[in-house]
Amino acid sequence: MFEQKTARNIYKKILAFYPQAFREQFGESMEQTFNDLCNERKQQAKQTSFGFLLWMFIETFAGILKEHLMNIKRGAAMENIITNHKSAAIVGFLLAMPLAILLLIMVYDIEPLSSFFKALTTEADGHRISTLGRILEAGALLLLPLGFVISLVPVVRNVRAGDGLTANPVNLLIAVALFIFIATLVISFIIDQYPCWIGVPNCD
Amino acid sequence: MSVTDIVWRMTTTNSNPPLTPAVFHILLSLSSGERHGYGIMKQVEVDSQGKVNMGAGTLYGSLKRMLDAGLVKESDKRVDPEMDDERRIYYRITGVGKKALAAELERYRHIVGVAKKLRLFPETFAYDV
Repeated sequence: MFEQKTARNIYKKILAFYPQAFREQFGESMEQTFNDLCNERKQQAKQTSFGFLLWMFIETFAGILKEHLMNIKRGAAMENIITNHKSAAIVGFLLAMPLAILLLIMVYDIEPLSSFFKALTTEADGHRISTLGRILEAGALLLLPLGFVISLVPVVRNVRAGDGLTANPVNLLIAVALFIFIATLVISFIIDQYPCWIGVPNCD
Repeated sequence: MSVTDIVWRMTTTNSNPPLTPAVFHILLSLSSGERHGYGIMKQVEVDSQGKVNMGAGTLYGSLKRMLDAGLVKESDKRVDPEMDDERRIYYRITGVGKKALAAELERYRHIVGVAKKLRLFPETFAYDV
């Protein structure tokens, strides 16, 4: 037996996982329907059993998953990222995270992660980068400009609409941080490789 | 192929594709009048003699797609006199929805016809598995 109020609160929290548009359209009705089902069981002197609640919760979770998958299928998730400045900021930040974490681990030699990544990304001799390492490197490097573009889109849209550069400060901050990050990487690469480009012997 | 088969194929092509069980049951429940979410659930239970138990996730997910496809429409929010005083959104079947339901029922009728022709009845071997 479960306290109905607790069950309703849990259900309300589960509904929050639906895509925003779906939640806005049907959230209230779904909550009402769940309450109606609980009341029905109460009137029939049936306890709000664990089995009933488990079925309702699992069925609703399946619905949540389905709605998200359908959104991805029709490209609505990307549309949401581009039109919603909060989503853009979060996605931009998350895309930059893998490379930032990887660099932190390698630069500051954080063990045991540093040894693990070195073993994973280098050949047996411990010097040359392995194929997996190159794939990871290329993937992480591609995520950076993608994150930069996604976080910058709402800023550009605001500027075009005449709302000013600081209308979405978080997006602007992330875009600037990512730009500095990318610029640092590019400059470091140029400084590192410049001797080879001008023909200095024995450079690698 | 008989003439009825040809006519059946011509009338039930892509304009009314087969419906999912959930959509079929929702349309069937709305064919007798406007209902809110809980009302649809209860009617589906009655129509299917308790064999179909639709959860809220399936119901509202299906309703969303049915609204997008124009099979159903939202009516005004109002209080159900048989329930509490909360205002609920009612749903009603549209003309497109009625046509889709009719096409699905026609498909069922045809399938039952085929089963009869093949002398497949509940007591035949096909159902003994």
